[in-house]
Amino acid sequence: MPMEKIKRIIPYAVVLLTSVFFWVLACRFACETRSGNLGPDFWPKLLLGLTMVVCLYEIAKITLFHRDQASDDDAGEVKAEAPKHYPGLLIIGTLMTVAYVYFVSILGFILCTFLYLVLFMIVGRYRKVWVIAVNSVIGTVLFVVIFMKAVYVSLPLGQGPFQQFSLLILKMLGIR
Amino acid sequence: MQGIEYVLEAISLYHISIALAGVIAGTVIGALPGLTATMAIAVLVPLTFSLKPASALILMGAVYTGAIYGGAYSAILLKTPGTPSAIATTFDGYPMAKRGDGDLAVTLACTSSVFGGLVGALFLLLLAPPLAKIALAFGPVEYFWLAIFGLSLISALSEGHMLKGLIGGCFGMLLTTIGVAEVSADIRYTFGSHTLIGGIEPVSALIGLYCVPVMIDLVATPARHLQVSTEGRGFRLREALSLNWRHKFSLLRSSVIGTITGILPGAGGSIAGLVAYSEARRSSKRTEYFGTGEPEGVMASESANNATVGGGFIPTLVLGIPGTPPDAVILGALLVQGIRTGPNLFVGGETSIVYVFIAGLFVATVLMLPTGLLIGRYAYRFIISVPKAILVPTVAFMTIIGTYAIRNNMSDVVIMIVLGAIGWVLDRYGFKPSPIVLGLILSRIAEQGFVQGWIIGTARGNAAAEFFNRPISLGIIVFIGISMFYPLIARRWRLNKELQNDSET
Repeated sequence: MPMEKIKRIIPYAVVLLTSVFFWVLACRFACETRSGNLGPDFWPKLLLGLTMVVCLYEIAKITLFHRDQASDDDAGEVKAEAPKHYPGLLIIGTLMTVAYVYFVSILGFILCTFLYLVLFMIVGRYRKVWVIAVNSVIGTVLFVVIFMKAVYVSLPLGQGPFQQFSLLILKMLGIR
Repeated sequence: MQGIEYVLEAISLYHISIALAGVIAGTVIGALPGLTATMAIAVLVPLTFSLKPASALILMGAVYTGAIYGGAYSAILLKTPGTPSAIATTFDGYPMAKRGDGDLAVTLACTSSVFGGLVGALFLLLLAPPLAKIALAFGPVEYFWLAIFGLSLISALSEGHMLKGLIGGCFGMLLTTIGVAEVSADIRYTFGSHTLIGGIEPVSALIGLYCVPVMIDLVATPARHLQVSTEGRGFRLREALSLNWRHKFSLLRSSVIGTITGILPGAGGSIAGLVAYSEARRSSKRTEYFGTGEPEGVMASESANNATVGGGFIPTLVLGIPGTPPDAVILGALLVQGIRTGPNLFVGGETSIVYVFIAGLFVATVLMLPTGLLIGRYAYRFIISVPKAILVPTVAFMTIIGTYAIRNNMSDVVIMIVLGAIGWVLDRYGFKPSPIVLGLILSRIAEQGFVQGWIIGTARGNAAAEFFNRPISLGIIVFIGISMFYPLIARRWRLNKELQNDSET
């Protein structure tokens, strides 16, 4: 089978296998269904069944029928949709966002947000130090006021000394 | 004479100030992804206790109106609906912004929102008691068919890959099966995790699927600013009004759809926007341009979602049944104020409160035009002028905190990021996020309606009859049929006509 066909089949095969896995899980739902009623597995199975039928149809279509022009078009489309220039930047940005989510409960919302903004701007090739510092401070204060004072969102204050730091800043901003 | 008194009270400096403050606050909160209209009103509830009932209602109505409109900013400029009501606005709003018409899209969203809001308020003023009965006529089966009507939009949103759209829609619907089952309350697909028992919060999934891929692409591309074709060209109000006038029937139809959807308890602005968008696309002569930056798409979505404000107040005030989630919060605030909602509210001793409020809603909706245009213009300028190195972390941060704020739960943020990554990968293989989101929003209503309808039908001895024998259901089924097959028939008809013309020439 040509490589191009295999490449086109892979996404459908992955979806099909995942659907089969979830179908098996749906069969194991712990429940007692009264006669005449639909069990909790009905709706997921209906959706999974439909997904599997569509995947099988697409796989069969790609495998059995020649659609050179269409396949060329589709492949071209996938290639055209991937104009990545900075994969390193992308990975760093993603890691920083994940790290923010992890560290926000330890460092606290205020410090973590300030660091996140500063580091993101540096990684994003912004080099004006004063602009970075001012933007990060103003941004952090603005977010604190909007989310903690105006919208009353209870954001993480951090642990140990970081919590003390957060409370000090909140006190300075007049937020109780 | 009494009517004039109500209007005079509503346009007093005090009430205009309240409405203005409410519209501005609502617009800003609505523009932030994750902060919904419900949250905006809930935050303000304690403030309303010190106000008179009519003033409190005007403030909450103004915030509600502003928040629904505010959701359009991020939908148009960042492809991330600020509120779920603006989902359908992203379909054409973002492509418009990408080609340099973001200012026009924002203005169009504003004028259409004002029009939709006025239509909704007019319905509330003139037809509240009879229209409230429509809400009572809708049973589970009708809700099921309404959800299917919304899902029929999948074919339109699949961008030429119908089957991929179908898979995406099923994926979105499957996401809603995680957690506690709608009717039977059984636990599904939680993998032993307590976090997943509460299910996937639609707003966090929405932010993840729409915003994360955009953020990833912004980070990965070399341009220093957002890539739009031109600089801002002012308000472009005349152009927007001219487009509104050209599509006046579509605008009116979308507003009526929005009002009626608003009347239905639990339906809300997101479904109104999607159904109106679907209907506008079906009836348009430029069907093929929908999804690529067609102004009529923005108009349909925005007029419909703002019309739900007035529509939602109809069952809330007449029956005491909230039409939309923000109405539920408003209803609670009214109860605290000692106001008993019901049909007597329109004829009894508290008539003045209702009519001053309705007049105030008109005022707030009209005020949305200048404030919305001003905020919109500066939002657009800001977004295209701020370097990506500043814009990306700011938006990324807002999505994180917006998601966290929904349930004060960091697990929602993790789910948002994971779904965003999945959405980005799926997008690479041609599975667009819109059908996934459509499934996510409509699946709960569809499942609940289907299972409850089935139980009722089985108890009556014929489940199928329950789904196909009710007049409203049949009406919606006809619309689904038209919505699905009309574009095909119309295309064939146009092709035949073109062929005929060619052969004649």
